[in-house]
Order: sequence, then C-alpha cells, then structure tokens
Amino acid sequence: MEQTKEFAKYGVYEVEDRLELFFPSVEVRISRDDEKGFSYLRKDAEGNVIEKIIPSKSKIKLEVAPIRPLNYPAHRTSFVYLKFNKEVYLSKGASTSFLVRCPIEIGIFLVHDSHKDSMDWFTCDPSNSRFGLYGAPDTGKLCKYYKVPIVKNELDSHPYHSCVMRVNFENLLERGYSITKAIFPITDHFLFYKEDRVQLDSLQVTLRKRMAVEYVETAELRLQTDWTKSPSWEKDTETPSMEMGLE
Amino acid sequence: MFEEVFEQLDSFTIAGSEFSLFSLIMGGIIMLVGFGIARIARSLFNKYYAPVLPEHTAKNFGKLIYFGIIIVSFLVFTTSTGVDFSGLLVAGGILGIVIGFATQSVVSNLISGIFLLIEKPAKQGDSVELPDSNISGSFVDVGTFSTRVRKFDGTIMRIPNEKFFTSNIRVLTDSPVRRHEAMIGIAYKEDIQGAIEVLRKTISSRMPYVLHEPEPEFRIEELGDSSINILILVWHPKQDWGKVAPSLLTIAKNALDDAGIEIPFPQRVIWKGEKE
Repeated sequence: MEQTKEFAKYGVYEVEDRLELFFPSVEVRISRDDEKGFSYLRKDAEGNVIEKIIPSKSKIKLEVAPIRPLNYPAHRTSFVYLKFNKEVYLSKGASTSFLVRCPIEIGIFLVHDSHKDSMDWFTCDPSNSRFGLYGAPDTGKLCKYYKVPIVKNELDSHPYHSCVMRVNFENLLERGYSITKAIFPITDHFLFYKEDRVQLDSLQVTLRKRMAVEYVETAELRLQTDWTKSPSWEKDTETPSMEMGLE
Repeated sequence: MFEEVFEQLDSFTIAGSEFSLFSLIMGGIIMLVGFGIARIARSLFNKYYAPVLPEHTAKNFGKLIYFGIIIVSFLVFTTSTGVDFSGLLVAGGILGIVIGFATQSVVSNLISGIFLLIEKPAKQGDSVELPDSNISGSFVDVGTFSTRVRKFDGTIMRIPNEKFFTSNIRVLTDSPVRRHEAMIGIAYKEDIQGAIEVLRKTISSRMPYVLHEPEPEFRIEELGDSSINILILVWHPKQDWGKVAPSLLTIAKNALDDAGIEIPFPQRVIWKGEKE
C-alpha cells in the first residue's frame, strides 16, 4: 500500500544531516554530502531536476515561504492580471470589499545570521501560470494572468497554489460600473503565512474621473496580521500606486 | 642659430592670413587642452551619468560631449590665431565641388547618421528586420557612416547609414508582445470544431509562453486541395519567440495525431477513361 506523503508546512527548518520536503508534485531533498557541505535536489512537476551544493561545515537553516507568482515560466513582468470568475457591479458612489484567491509560488531561502538569501523557487501549479496582456499590443502591459474565484474567508486559499487577498473597491464615477478584473504591480505587496495558509497585502481599487477621463487607480494596503511575513524573492520596488484607463 | 630660426619663422603668411610662431604654439596648446578636456568630460559622463541612461542614449550623449568640446576648442584656436577662412574658401571653391562629388556618399551617410540619431528608429538590443535587404538581427548602434546589426547567426552586418535610413525597418521588439502564426491542415472528414478544441487545449497546457489574454485564435484560412487549413495565431512576450515559434507546429501536429485527427497529404483522384 502506498504511503501518503504529508506536505511540508511553510516556516524555518534546521538541517543537520538530512531533510525531505514534499509539496504537490514537487519534492525537495537536502542531505549532508561530506564535512564540507550539503547537496540540494529538487524534482518538479514537469520532471525537471535541479541540483545545488550548499557549502557549510555546520548545520544550515532554510526557510520555506510563499513568494509572488512572477517567476514561472520566466520573469517577464512585475504586474499581475486577476480575472474574477464573477462580475462585480458598483453603483455610483458605492464601495465594497471582498476576498479573492491569488496564485503564489514557493521560495526556499537560506537563513544565515539575520539575512535570508533567495536560493531556489518553484511552482506547484505550472499549468495555471500564464501570461496575459492588458491593453493594446503596442502600448499594453504584459502581466501574469490568472482566472481567480471570489472566496468567503481568509483561510480559503489552496495550500501551495494560492493565497487570499482582500480587494477594496470604491466607485467615485458619476455612473455605475462593472468590474471584472484587477491589474496591479504585485512587487508592492507582501505575503504572510501561517502553516500552509497564505495572505497577501490588500489592494485598493478606486474608479475616478479627472477632467473628462475616467481611470482606475490601484494601491496596496498593508495587512495587519500576526502571521509570519515572507521574505521577498525579488528586489522591492517603490511604486506606491498606478493608474490605468478604463476599458 | 635658434634665434635666427625664430626670427625667420616669427611671422609668415598662409592663404592670406598672417601667423606668428607664438600664436601657432598657443593654438596647438589650445587644441591639446581641448582634446584633454573632451576625454575627461566623456570619461566623467560615462562613469557617473551613463549607467542611469539607456545604453543607446548614453553612447550618443558621450559622442556629443566629446565632439562638441573639440569643435569649441577648434573655434577658440581659429579665433586666437586670427585665421581668416574666407581666402581659403574662395581658393578651395572649385576643389570643394570636386571633393563634394567624390565624397557624396560619405556626406550622405554622415547626414543620414545624424538623422538616425535624431529619429531613433530602434533602441540598442532591439530585434530589427530590413525586409528589402533580407537582413534581420539585433540592432547594435549607429556609427558615423554606418549602422551595425548583429545577425541572429552572431555575425555583424555593417549597413551604410543612408541605406538603413531609407530602408523599411521592422522593429520586432518594440511592443511588449508579438504574434506568431502557423497553418495546419485537417482532413475534410474531420470535425473542425473538435480539432480546434484539441489544438486550443494542447496549446494552453503545453505552451507556457503563449498568452491567455488575448487568447489563441483559430481561423479556417482555406478549403485547400487536400485539407481544411486552420491558421493558428498565438501571442507571446516579445523576447520569447524562440520558445513558441519553433515548437508550435510540432505541438499542434502531435496533438492532432494523439486525438486521431488526420492531417492529409496532397492527393489526386485520377479517373481513367475507357472506350465504349
């Protein structure tokens, strides 16, 4: 009878001799090679094997943490395009707030002193990690594209595949408007984890009008939580908000 | 002896302008200092400002600073030595016309280069194609007389500025995305919608660089002699042509094979006439 493997939780692991971490369709094995260091091996969902050597005479500390979904199949953009499974209608002057799932990837960080080095990353859901274009081909913005459901509570994430993000909508236009998607630079947002559940900083979406032009303004809102903050895989950017035209 | 030489060279005339040895030495020093300042200014610019500018702009600014200072030095030199160019211009008028005809293409390339620097049809590193000349590759830079393009086989193609300026230039990486097209045929007996669905699902699952928005498009392009020809149009990030184009037809063919959909080869039905 095949033994069911228990999936690893997010967090910090101390490796003295050997560590095996199992994720949906991904396996990570770390073992001491000799006195000089450890060997690291990852087998992913597509059968690719990644091997690394970690030189260290003493035990090592690794942190397994969710990261922003920007790396698979290749890092091409900092923007995420979330297409909601349901349309949200906002009447004139209305505001609302709801939770959506947002995909994640998983990062392995080497912890030494107070520093966390990005060592490896992978996705447990490669078939849903795709690109999309917002706008026209010549002037549009290339984004990571995901069709996402609207969910009921913060714990309703799919472990290792997605996190939950709160989106606040505010309509300051002189008319009602249907919202079907959110496009934003995800590098402004931080992830927070607890065991195998993950949350992302909230997103504020405001529909405004300046002179005769209607536009959408998005900005991140810091999440107040006691969950553990994930280290950043990419270099942090300082983009407090962005504006885009209404389609 | 030196005194005699200095006395003889103290004052002399060239093309109607009178020079002194002192003014010539001063002019030489001015030009040398000018060259020195130009090199230092270019080095300082390259060290402190060029890294924050796009490579192409930084290179052009570097040239502008260098040659700008040299031209200013030359003007200072001519003013200090009191050179009057009007005599030279009259004397060299006919010679100028002769040289002008002889160097027409050189001047034309120089002027085209200046216009190319102003217009900037492509940025350094952009993939460009000159359909008229059948040249495609990565744009390197615009030089004084020629533009350089690194072809995809790694060789450098030097194109005279005038030819580059007057050519049709297709910039392949200016937009964030590109579209690739491929045609595949299915047999007349097959279900068209079924075949399209097979292609759509396979491209979606097996080609991670193909955009999901805009979605891949499938058009019945032609009812051909032997097959119904389906045109597949997919979008991909501008730099990932190599991850999509070479494998699209392979993946499409394998998907149709796996689904048992026939890809016919050209065939003719021949009717043989017989005498009654």
